[in-house]
Amino acid sequence: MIRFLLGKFVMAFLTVFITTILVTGLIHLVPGDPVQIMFAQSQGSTPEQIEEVRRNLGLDKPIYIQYFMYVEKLFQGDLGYTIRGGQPVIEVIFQRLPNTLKLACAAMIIAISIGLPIGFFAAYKKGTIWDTIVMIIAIAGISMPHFWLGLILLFFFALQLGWLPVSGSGYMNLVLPALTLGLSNAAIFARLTRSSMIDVMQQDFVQTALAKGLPKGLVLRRHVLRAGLVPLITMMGLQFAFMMGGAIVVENIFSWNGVGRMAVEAIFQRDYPIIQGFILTFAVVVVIVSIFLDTIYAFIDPRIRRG
Amino acid sequence: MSEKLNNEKLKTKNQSFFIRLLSTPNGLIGLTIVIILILSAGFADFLAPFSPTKMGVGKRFLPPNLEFILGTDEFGRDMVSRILFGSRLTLMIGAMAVGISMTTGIIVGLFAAYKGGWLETLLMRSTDILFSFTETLIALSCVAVLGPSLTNAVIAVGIAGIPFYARTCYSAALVEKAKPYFEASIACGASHSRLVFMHLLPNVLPTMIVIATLGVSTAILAAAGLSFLGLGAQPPLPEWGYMLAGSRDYINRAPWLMTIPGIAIALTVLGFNLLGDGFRTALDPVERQR
Amino acid sequence: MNESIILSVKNLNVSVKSKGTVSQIIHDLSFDVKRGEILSIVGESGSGKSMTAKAILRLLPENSSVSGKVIFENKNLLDLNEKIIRKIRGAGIGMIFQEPMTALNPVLSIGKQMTEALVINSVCNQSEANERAVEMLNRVSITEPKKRMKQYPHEFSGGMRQRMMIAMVMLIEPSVLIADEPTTALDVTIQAQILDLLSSLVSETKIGLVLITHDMGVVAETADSVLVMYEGKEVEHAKVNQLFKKPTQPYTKSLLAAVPRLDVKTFENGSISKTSTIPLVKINQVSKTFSKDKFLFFDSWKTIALDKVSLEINFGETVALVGESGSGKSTLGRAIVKLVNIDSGNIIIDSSNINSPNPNDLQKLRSNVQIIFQDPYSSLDPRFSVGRSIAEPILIQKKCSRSEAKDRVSILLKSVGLTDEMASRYPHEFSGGQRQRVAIARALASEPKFIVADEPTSALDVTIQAQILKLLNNLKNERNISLLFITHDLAVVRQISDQVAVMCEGKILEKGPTNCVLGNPQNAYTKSLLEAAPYPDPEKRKKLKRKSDLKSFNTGPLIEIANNHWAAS
Repeated sequence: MIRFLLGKFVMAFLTVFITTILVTGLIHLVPGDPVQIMFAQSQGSTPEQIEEVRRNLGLDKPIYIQYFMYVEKLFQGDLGYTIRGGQPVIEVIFQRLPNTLKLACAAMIIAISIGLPIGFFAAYKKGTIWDTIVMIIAIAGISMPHFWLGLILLFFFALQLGWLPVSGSGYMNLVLPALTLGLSNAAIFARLTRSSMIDVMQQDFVQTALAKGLPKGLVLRRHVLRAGLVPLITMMGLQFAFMMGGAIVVENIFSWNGVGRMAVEAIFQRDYPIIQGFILTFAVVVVIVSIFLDTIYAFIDPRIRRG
Repeated sequence: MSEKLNNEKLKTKNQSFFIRLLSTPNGLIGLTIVIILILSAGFADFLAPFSPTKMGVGKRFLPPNLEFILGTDEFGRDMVSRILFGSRLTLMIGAMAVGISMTTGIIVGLFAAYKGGWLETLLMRSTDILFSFTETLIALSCVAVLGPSLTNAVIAVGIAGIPFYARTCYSAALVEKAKPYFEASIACGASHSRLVFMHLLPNVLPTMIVIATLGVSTAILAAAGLSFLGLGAQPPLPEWGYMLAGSRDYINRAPWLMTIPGIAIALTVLGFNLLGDGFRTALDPVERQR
Repeated sequence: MNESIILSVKNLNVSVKSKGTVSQIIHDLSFDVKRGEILSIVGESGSGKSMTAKAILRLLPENSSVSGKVIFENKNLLDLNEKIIRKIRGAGIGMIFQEPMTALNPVLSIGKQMTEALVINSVCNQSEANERAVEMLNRVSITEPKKRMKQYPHEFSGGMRQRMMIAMVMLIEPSVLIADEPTTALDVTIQAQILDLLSSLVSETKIGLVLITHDMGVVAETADSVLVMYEGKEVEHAKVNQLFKKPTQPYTKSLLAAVPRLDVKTFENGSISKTSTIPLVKINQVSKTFSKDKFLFFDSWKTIALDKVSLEINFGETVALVGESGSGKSTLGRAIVKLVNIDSGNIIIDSSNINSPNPNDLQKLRSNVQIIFQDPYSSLDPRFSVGRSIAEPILIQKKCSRSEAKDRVSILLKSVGLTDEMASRYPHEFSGGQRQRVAIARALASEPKFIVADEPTSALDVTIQAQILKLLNNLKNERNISLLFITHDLAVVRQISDQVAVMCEGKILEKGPTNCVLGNPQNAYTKSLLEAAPYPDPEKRKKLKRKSDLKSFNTGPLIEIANNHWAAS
């Protein structure tokens, strides 16, 4: 188990490391002069200001020096300053990150609590009309763009029925975006769960358990569920990453004040420091969650736990 | 019992692939939807009553009526025409994005699987890392670098999809490589290109086609998402995601502006998803339906 | 009803519905199981033997329909409802399956899996169940049973898992035990131990055992009475001695005739035309170690597959390479064909070293040496027509033009007993035996001097195996090809080989002329293999307790005992 976890830690570290490289290199991939482009968005900037920014970003120095500059600043908690307002990027991000995390977690809870039981139910009733119904709903759910779902929910619940507010930051405001993100992913979860459970149900040990005279319900709960959950844990990591990605769009629909919204604005404004900071933050969050889930997996699966 | 040998019947399960495809409900519905899509994209010029970008062909915000079957948008443009031309865009987006992803992915995957050694480790670890970035982030980063435009969005989605295709191709290729027929060919003296192009690739392709069909739907959704955010299609392109973005301000006043493009996207994606499922069952009838 | 009969099957019919068509799997089957008796149901694949077992326990898939009677404890099991059947499963009739690797739940501890049936059915509480489980593990010769209870299936070998399965089932104290091919997936020495265990359990507890198998040797060694099945029907049902001595049905006779025997050789080997005194293949001190160093050194392991192996094969000779799983025999075969690179030593075929840097030599190797694999289902590229697969070596090696190749393919197809119109068909249209013939045709296509056959018949039914062996032997004699026949089945070795080499854990422990090695084995390991091999003659059943937990045998360098008969020191 130690080896397994150690391997995962190393990969995590490598991922973040590569991210920093990519992030510093990002600016150089921009066709044309990035600094000019940044300033094209704002008016009235003098050549001196442009040069100063250039020096600040280290763009006048060779790449590897830039990289070290960036990493050095990183260790000091300095992610640079926004082009627009000159605020420290790290402050901007940390202001909004909790909101995004709240959204992603809430959506995850919704997705799992709806998707898992439905998927399990469909697997149990495999081949019957219930299974088909569930699968149709699931595939419809997957096909529906989550931004559309968001608009629909917005339309009905906020505008027509007035039950929930349109935008803001309170807990009531969390409902719609979380539902949007959560429901879309619930469909994916349902399918994944069903596949995993069906895989397990076809394994030999299920026959063995039945042949011992165990009731079907117990076999499902104790044998199938346990064995089927294990691979699902790793899939949850991936799903969380998707949810973070989906949050970007959902935040924009509902004007939810998270990092996703910030990122999109930054792209329009060509505010590269924020973009860099965002990419790095995103990667780090995903990596942390993955490690967390991998650790749980290492403990649950006796094949890993005991080597 | 030599009689048994001579009488061993040759199992002729040579049902045509298409028949198998059409006998699954998923395949049938999926194929129908996709064909409709292709037809409307191809014949949009003939089918559309108006130009999709001409403003003011009708009064603004007309709900669906006899003249404008799907109504008009905030600029008085005919929705039917916009949807029809939008289908052309959608198909092109899907095809090109998947084209980029799949070609690169297959090359990377095959290379890694066949060559092995440090190249394999390097390529696959890199894909793993890229994979953890999620497609959304990669796509977003690409657009951030290149600037918002539909072409860039397509490239972004294409690049974002590479890790997935590379990984799938790699796994499938490894499976084939381990099979005795592959080794038998090596033992006959087959050259590298023969092994890769005549043995690995054809056996990996069916899986890849299934993945690609399903991938078209993902690509369309991703591109529409980017357009929705304003990072993809720019006005006045009749791209469905962009149309959805525009509808937001007028939800109350003209709800059809939001409904129609959404249904279009959902149906398209559904069609490709079902078709992909159908392919999967048709190509390997032994595999149980998931 | 006779007091000693505990299970009685009468007129059992099972049919399965799939995609609209109904196919009858089992036709009108009847048999009885007596207390303290071992009934063996034997048949080839598709005979319906596994289905019979499942039908008894009502574990058939949902799209099947069953009729007839299964009488147990004075009730017809087929009439009872699910609740009552559940009580009978395990407690009345127990079942063990073929694959010990997958028959146990990987995420639950052994102890939990063993005791859950007792606890759920309120036979006793958890702690008492644990005690009983420990006792039973002892009974099946599992060491340190208390510790094992807390461990998980993946920590054990196949043989141990099968013992645990048996313990688990016996714990519930059934009166009938159905064992569906319990030893097929195990090495022959382990198989012998498991069969012994089952026999002793039967004689101790007087349960009835239904042993399902395809191996006539196992039947002869263990069964009291035998039921032969073919295509879902009973062919013959008799006491074991009678069945083997005086079979009445043609199918039974052919089945028995097809079984390779250790004592009688049925194949003629052409006189070995010694065209030269130099051996065709010289394997010299070859070693190979497999290791996996995952990047960053985590998760690495090392296995020694070959350890200074030396062997010679003469022109026109068949040499058998025998060993259990993990012995390295497959690795050696693949090393000869250069599918695996050796670490040290050399292999010289027809006077050229296989590792020679000269590309002409490599071409010569590819032309001279071919290989046939075990699994007929993945030996042929599913996208290539059969003719194209066979033609591949010819075309790659540019032996002739394309049109000539077509003719050659026809000739080859005919020589392996197929017809030339089959050339345009695809592998999935053929049965396993036919596919193996195609594989043989492909191996012959480049006109090799030497063929490596890696367990070519292990995956085939015994009657098909007999045909393929005969075919191989004839072809080899006609064309004066040398054969390296890799197998785990000593009886096959006796049938087909001139020389034999016994491998274990990467080393050759004994080698020499087949008669000498099998008739006068020197190494303890060879002896244990011979002892363990099931013998298709019930009269010669070994009554000896095979308690040979082989702890030590010689593994040193080989010394010559007699004329060309070498054994480890």
